[in-house]
Amino acid sequence: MKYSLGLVLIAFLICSGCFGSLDLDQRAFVVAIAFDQPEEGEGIKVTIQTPIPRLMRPGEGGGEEKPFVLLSVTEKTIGEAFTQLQRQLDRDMFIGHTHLLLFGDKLARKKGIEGVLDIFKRDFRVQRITQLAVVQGEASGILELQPTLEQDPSTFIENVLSKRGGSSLDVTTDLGKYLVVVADEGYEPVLPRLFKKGDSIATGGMAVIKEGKMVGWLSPRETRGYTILVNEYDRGRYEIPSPTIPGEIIVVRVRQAESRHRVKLLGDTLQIRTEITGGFETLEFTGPQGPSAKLESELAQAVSKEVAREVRAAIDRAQQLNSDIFGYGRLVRGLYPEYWAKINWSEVFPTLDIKFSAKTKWTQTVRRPGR
Amino acid sequence: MNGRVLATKQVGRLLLGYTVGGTILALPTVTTAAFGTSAWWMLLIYGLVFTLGGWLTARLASKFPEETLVEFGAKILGNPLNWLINLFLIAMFLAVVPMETRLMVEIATIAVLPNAPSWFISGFFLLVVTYSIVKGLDTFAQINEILIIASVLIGAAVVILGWQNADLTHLLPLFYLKDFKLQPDLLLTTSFAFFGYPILLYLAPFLKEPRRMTAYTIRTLIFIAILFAFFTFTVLSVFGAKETLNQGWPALELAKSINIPGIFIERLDLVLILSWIPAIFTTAACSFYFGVLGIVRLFKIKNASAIIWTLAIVFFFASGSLTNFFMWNRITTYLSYAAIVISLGIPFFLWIAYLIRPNSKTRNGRGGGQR
Repeated sequence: MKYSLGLVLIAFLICSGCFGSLDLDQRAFVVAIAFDQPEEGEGIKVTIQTPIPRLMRPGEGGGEEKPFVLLSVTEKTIGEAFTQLQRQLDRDMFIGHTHLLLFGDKLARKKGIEGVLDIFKRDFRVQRITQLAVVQGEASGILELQPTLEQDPSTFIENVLSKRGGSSLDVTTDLGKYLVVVADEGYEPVLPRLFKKGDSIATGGMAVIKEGKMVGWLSPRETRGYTILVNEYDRGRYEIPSPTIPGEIIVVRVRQAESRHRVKLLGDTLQIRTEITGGFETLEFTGPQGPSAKLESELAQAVSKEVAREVRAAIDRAQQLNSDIFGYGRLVRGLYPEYWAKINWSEVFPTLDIKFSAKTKWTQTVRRPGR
Repeated sequence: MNGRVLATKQVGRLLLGYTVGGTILALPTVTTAAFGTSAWWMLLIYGLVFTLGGWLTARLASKFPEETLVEFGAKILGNPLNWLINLFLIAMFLAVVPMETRLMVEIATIAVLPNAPSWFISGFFLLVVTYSIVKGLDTFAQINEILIIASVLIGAAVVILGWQNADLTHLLPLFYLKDFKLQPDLLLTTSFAFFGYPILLYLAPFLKEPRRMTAYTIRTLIFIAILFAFFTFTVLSVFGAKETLNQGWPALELAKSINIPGIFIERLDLVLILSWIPAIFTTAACSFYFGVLGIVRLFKIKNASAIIWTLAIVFFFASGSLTNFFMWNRITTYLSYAAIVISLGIPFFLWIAYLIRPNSKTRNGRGGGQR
């Protein structure tokens, strides 16, 4: 019995041959995919970026040749596009390591991104941490650029979209987060904005999505207001007019900012109030003064006012676009489900009176009080 | 299959190994479909009900420390009814094996071996399961002890790491009964997750200290209820109710949503998913073992090996007949109906029969059973 069992085990192991497994040199790793509206006709233009392994080795490359290759096709479905792209590759196209999905703004507005993402949310190889972004202009154009600091644009974009930038002028959204927000009632997703700036790639601002389609942009400053409201703010510099010396500008860094939302239903009237608190430090004084105690209260007020101004701009823009990107609707639904069942949030949100207060404090130590 | 080989703590591990199986991978989806955002605390209520069922079962089994249900059932019910109940129980245990095998195929195919034929995965899985139980209860209990602890610990690690994406507002509304969909199939499929403690009806003669079985059973079932509730709580707080409902295997999605910056293994999710496979193994093996034990006792068969290997072949073809996810779900629903009868109906019925039977010898468990 033991021998026969052993034979069966060996047979299984030998016959299996690691079913369907492929060596690394037989795979074409797709690191980024761009989706665009084709200039002519229907369908979706799909562009993939795959690294060229021999040019990725240290000491290799460095010449004119880019260390990645771009392939494009235009098809009605993403599945068919992948089939056609595979025909141009001698290796198996593998999307398990795709880090970046980019959407051209025309496509995002016209067809939306829901239909494009369908295949990715069903394929188990695709990671939920794959980053998404909307490109102002053609998405495939961004992938053609050769960044100076990184070997390929996808790594560069991945880095600039991460919070390492620390400006809070953009947002980070991965596939998992997008799917969670888009599934939720009373909450709409946003995607970071990318655009060409000369020969380089720049970030800042974000695309607002409603019902799977892009409905507009938020500027970088409005985006910073948004990150404060949804508690995703990292840190950022603000230029504040000096409250004591006319014409002087004080650059401060708001290091933390936190929002607390309160939703109350009084009769049929919804009251939303957000309290923002934060701390800042001074970085630069363009005038003759330096940090001083007499400046403390007035500077704190001025910083709070500037923070409030950006937050207000973000709220106004979202209401104008009728897209609840802050998730107030989700809170209303959670706290007052009976009320939620009676209303149409798309009709309520644009006219909602969202009250908020911003209070910041000078929290950091001062290295050099004098001039 | 005889002899008092099990320490009492191993009862808890066997219960854990059986109960925490493949169903946990889909449990949040099913429970959320039934109870919305209240799913996690409803699992605690389920847990209380099944702990009561477990207590009754353990108490009854410990009244007959020398016998299994096959023997003591005949005393309190009479032969025909006892045969019927035992056959029902055995059929249920055995039916779980191809279900878990098919589940194993599903998970392995979507996550680890996308191109492997299902016959290979199910064949290999059944071979290992069969080999582990053919060696006897003591060997199997030791294997189970190691594997289930590893599975639960790694599962807990996934859950804790999953908290990086948690948002507690996803859990609102907390007690909204209008979200409840009291459909029998949803309610019973949730209860199927707790199926496991009926193995106690066959376990007492193998325990070194059968008297302590009840205490360990209660502790384990409470632990399982908390585990299920906490797991569902985490899934809901990470994905929200709507996105949870969109997912076939939220446990796997939870593993995929984890991002550990700086870690060198890019596809960490696969490592975590692979580590959960032992939980499926222990459920299949426990079910197989106690199904065979019931057959051996009921039909007084001396050579269990022939039965085990024959059944393994039957399971191989049975699992292959479950063609897809939908069929697996449908059969799981049918099994859930049987499971609720076995988990709650039969213990209550046996207790009533035990209490109303005016036979002091039987009550004291000195009826003398075959060992």
